[in-house]
Amino acid sequence: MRYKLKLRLILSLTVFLTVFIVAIVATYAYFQVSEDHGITIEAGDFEVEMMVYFNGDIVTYNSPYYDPEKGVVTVNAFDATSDNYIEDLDIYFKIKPIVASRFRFKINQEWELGTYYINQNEENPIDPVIQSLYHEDNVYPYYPFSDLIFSQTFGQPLYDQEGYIYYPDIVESSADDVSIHIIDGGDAYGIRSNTVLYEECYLYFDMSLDIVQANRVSERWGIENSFFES
Amino acid sequence: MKKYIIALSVILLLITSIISVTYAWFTYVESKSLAEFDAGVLSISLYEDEVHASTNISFDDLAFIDYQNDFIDNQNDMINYMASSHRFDIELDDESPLTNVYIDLSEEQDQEGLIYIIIYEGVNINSASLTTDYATIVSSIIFGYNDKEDQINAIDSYNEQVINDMSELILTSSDVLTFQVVAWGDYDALLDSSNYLNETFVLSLNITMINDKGEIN
Repeated sequence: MRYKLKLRLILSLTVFLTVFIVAIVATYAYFQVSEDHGITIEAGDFEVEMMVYFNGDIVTYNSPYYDPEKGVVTVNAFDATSDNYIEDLDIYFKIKPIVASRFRFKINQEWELGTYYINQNEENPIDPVIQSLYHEDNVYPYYPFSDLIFSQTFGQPLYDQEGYIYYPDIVESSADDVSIHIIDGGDAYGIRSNTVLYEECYLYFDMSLDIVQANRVSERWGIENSFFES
Repeated sequence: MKKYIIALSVILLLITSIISVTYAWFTYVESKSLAEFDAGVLSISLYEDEVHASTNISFDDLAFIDYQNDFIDNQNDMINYMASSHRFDIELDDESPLTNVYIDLSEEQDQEGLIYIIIYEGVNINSASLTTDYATIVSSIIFGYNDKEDQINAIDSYNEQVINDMSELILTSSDVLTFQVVAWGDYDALLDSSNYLNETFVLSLNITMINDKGEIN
């Protein structure tokens, strides 16, 4: 009789403990949630666009002022009424800097002056004279050896011996595009126009741009970081 | 016989009383509850850079640095400039009970070349107050360690401590816990650095929320 009682007691206790533990586990399970996420990390890259505007209108591939074969933009440097007049010129770089970066650029320019003679003797006409123009190295805010003018928002440009212009600041990483105003117009060339002749002056240009991760400047461009502190 | 009559009377009296009490109970129209129990809701809402995070999160802005010049010496403030930083917000349900959040962030593969720190920003912070001076944090973590291996171990210990500290917070309903993960690629640690721009690192982020009286299973 006593043995049976003991057995029942143990059985009851076991059942009670089992129910108790299950209840605890179930309660904890109920009050706990968990979620997994995978995070993939990859190296960043750059995206750059160069934008040329005349009086706010962008120069596209099909623009009459862009020669897709030569890859050059034509700027009228003498006629204030033209749609591609030099004073209305704006050049921007649009950069998506996924990582902090520095950039440098060159504007390859060809200034051309054409002289055309009028009221000529038909038997002995004078051919037009087309010549290249060279500018003095005007100081800032002029682009070196040019009548193009740096945008005031660009800051004080830095130069090297190879003709590159360096943006003075680091372009900080951003998920959004960063727009940097490079050139804000330029000075027209003083042409001659009289009863004997008239002149036309055009600027043809293209651009090249290098962009590099900000901490790789000395390695990629062979310049010291102190270059930017000058 | 007399006894039977007395017993019967008592029984009848009892039955009558019970019926009366029952009727009385049923006619009592206003009920008062002793206590009200509401079930809490535990759910995880994770936001990465203030956008609801999917199961797979991608960062494509990792920059590789020179460990000694950029990361340790912080030349030209490159730690801050070259950091790939991402904000994470864990938002509790508005019916959540008191809750602890356990975060586990680890690399899925044993792959050299990724350095990251976790920065606890706070609970219910405003957007503008995130830490941006990572250099000071890195400097304090590695202070006193001259060997690279010790420095990396110190960073691991720091991350572990931040996670432990966050798990001890008791959050209430609608609270938002914010932290940052800030990463750099370690160019020098790569086994094959010639192809470093194609390197991919995979981290595993596990978030567990548990009622503050419970313990994690």
